[in-house]
Amino acid sequence: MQGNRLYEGQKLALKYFMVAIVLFGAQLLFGLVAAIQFLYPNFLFNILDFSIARILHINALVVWLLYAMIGAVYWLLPDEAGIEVVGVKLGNLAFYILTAAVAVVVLVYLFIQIGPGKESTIWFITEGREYIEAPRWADIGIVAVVLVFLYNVYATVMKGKHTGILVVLMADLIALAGLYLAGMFYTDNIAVDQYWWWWVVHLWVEATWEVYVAAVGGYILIKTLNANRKVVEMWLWIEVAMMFGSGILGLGHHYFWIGTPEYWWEIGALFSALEPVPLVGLFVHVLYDWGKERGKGNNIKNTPAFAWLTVETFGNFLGAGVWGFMHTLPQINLYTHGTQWPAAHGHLAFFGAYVAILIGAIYLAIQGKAGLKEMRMTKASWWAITLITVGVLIMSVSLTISAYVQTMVERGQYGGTWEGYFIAQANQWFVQGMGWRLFSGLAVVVGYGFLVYDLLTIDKKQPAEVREGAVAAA
Amino acid sequence: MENRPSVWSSNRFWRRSATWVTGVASVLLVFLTFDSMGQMKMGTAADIKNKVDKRIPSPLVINYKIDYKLNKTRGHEIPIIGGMDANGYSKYEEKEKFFGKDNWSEKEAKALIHKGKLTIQAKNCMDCHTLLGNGAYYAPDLTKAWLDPTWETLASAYGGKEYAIAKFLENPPAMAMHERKMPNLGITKEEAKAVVAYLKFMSAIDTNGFPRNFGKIKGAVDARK
Amino acid sequence: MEYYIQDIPSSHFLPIFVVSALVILFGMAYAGFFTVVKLKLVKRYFMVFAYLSWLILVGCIYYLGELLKVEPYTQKVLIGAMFGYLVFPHVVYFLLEKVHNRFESESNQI
Repeated sequence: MQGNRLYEGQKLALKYFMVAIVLFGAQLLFGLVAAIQFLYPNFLFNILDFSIARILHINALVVWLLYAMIGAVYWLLPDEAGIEVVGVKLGNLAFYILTAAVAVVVLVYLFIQIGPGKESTIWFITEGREYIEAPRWADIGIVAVVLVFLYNVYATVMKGKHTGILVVLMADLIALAGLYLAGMFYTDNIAVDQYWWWWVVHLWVEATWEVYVAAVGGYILIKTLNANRKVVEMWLWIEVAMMFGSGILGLGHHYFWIGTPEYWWEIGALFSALEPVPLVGLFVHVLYDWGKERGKGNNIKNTPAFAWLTVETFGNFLGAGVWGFMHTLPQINLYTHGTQWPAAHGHLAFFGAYVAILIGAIYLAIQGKAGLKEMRMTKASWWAITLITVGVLIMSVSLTISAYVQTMVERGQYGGTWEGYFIAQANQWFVQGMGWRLFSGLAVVVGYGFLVYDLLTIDKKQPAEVREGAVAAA
Repeated sequence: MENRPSVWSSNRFWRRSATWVTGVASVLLVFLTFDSMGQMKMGTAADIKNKVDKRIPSPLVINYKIDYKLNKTRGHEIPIIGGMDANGYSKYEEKEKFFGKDNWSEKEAKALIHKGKLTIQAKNCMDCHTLLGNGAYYAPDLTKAWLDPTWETLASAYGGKEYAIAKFLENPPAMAMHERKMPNLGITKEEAKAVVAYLKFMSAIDTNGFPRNFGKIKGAVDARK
Repeated sequence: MEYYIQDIPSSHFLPIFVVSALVILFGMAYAGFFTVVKLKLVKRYFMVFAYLSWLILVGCIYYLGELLKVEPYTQKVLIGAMFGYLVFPHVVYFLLEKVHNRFESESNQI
């Protein structure tokens, strides 16, 4: 009886969320393997070499975030538009095709791993390009599935209500999907290769994904805090202007050293200085809302989702803002490019900007599925959020220490040679950083355990008054 | 007047502003991309003959001696192909034998580079190493691997550094230099040769001075005041 | 010869990383103090801390520029960042006031 209240699109969203959480687990598992190998290089040598563990680590990350993003859209789409998702059957079919394809790709990564130096390897085994290693056949499959998804979104919005959140999402999703095409070709020219590769990677994570998060974040604020829709939607446009204004040409900070013209130094430096703009804007906005709502007795309708949204604000600011600005200007990037610096920055920024909010969206869906008017944090929610957040924070700090050693020793003292590289890697401080990284990684894994347990049981663990409210509402 | 909301709280105004900002940024990016693509086109045999410096040189550079030297005008190191002239630029004259010959034709060199790049992708090199500084950080950067002093020291024992690197690639654990060793990736003799060609070609790409002070072992930064 | 990128002695790496982190942190402190004072959550004189944070930020950016030995173009970018930080929270706050006053008074009327 409970399930009947949900739209079919929302049921599809739950499927996407389920796979997302499973892949999140896979990401952590392979990350752990890679972290162990930094300290004990013989661990799984010749069975699951570092390169394979890392491919699985970063690909699982990208794919689970995309799953959760698609899921969140399917969740809010019928709710916002006020009608069932158009073409939801097709959407279901696309879900199973995509999941089967992901499974095949993962199995090929795991068991075939590499191929001969021929075009056929690029088509069927791996493209060997960080983050988008998926072979070409899978690329084409992904595009087909995404087209179905886009059709569902567009057709539903055309038929139902055009809310501001949906309009922003529609524009953003088409850009997000289109950018993937920039990564789907082969060239012998490695500089040109990396130039377009960054179009996909940067324009996803520092432009279109950011705007996506702003839109979904707006929806969560309306749902958890009863935020004023008109304010949220107008502010969303201001954020789009700030994010795309600073993010699109922010691409320049990846074009300092890959065979690109020197003018990217100037462009990269200018837009790196502009990148804190949306962060400061968001910060003032959050404080403002908090200050205005204080004392109004506005109950938070879903405390775990709201807690993750709070983690998002600070994580994004620290990961993207502080850790980004530390090594973004070309003068210093010359010595940090190609070291652990981007790893330190990447771990915290991906977590802060995307993982946190998507987990929040999943909690929102759990609440909707159970039909609860209000959902409160449990002990497990608390442990999950604490262990994962603190774990990732310590991880980034440890990686920063290792990165600093690498910059000093390998790049500063030894001029970036192989000898310098290995001397830096053996440096006590570097190794210590890696050790703490592994330790904090274990904390994150334990936190993940709490998270899964909580997602499965939180609806049954709500206090009596919350549950009674639900019965009364039904 | 009271009823007319200010432009600052107008949804329409901000929607238009967002669209304009995004549009202008995108158009600028597209324009810059066209310009960059022009400058990043791979060089040709004619460029080598006419001594034209290209950011990404012709694959024919495998026939030449490659170096990485400080250029006074640009203020950082640049690749020097076939010897350096008085102004600190490439002369494209000094040849160097690569696997026994220094007269690889443009067609042969292109085929070698093609196979090398495919192998680099097929073996997931980028998921341990960095290339042009991008990739994983588990193994050394390959941008200037061809010029790395490690291979200079091994060159004589193998009859040239290209042979040493190729031998290493065919079975890395046999020549392991560190505890963190490269696995055997089943790289064939032909593939190894192609990868070495790619590494030599890549070391001639103009990376705006990255990596800084390359090869100046011990006190690299502080050595030059 | 004015080069875009100068050699940086390795002893300057640590201050560079610390100072650039401080730029963002004090930027946040400035925006934070500014907003809570404007919202009247704390006494007015706390605004002193806001502008003090901004002054420290200016110092940090100046020091960063010195450490990085930046050339005239990046100098201008950094000076722009100093004043951008000063103005930006004012702009955001102004817009928030406008938006909230308009839409929230509307919803109150209903």
